[in-house]
Amino acid sequence: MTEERSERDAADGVGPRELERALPVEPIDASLRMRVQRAARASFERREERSVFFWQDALVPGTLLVAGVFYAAGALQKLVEIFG
Amino acid sequence: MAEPVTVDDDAREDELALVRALRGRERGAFDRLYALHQERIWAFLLRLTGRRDEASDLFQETWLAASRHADGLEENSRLLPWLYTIARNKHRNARRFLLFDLRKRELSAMEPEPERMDVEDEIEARERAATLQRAFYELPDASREVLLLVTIDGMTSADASVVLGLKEDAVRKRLSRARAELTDAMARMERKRAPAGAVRRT
Repeated sequence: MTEERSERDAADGVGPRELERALPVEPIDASLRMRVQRAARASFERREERSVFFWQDALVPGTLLVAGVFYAAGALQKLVEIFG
Repeated sequence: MAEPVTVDDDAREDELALVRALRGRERGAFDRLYALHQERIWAFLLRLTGRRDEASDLFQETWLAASRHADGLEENSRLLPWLYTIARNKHRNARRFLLFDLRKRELSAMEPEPERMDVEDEIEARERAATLQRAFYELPDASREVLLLVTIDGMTSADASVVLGLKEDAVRKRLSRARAELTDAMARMERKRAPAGAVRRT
């Protein structure tokens, strides 16, 4: 048999079912399935809560930012008084 | 072949309702999505990588990404193509910086189950399945992806084009090329397996 013929024969036999059977899938491990579900669900629901309580999340960093700006402005004013 | 990825009107209505629930981040919506599609995503990743450990990591990353981006779904999104897209992107990102991958595929340890047949035919079928498996993993990622999506999962060219980021025409061309590559790889291995001058008919 020629190489060309052998290649054509090989092609004829590879159907979807044969490919699927050549690549068998072990079922997903139960502990992995549950662990992933828990983690992903927690992530999904955390974002739900974040959208409701966003202003609370922003309260502390926002206050710190405003305080920092005032502090920096005061420090700058002092420097101007000393060197200016 | 797995049940084809087609939807009738009722199933599409259910899917759109689930999309709305996910967009609104309704409690319980994510569990429904996970229950519906976890097995398909697992099968896709395990077949694509050929390794349980890698597939497990990608499976987790895929679902975490889905949970984070669920509210960004379009109103008329198709969920399975969306999930396949995330899974495929996770796989591509993981392999981006991998020049040489010498890790062993584990699927070869999983024996395909041939249909009931004579012993000789069964041996022949097992050998051919093992050859086909090795040939599949010689293919480039892009070829393996399209074969898994369209040939095994029965996805339409339209849905596959969404997952692969190609036009439908390009999907068909890529599929045709992948089949040819698989055929070549099979023939090459058959020649190695067969005694000189006697290529086995299949």
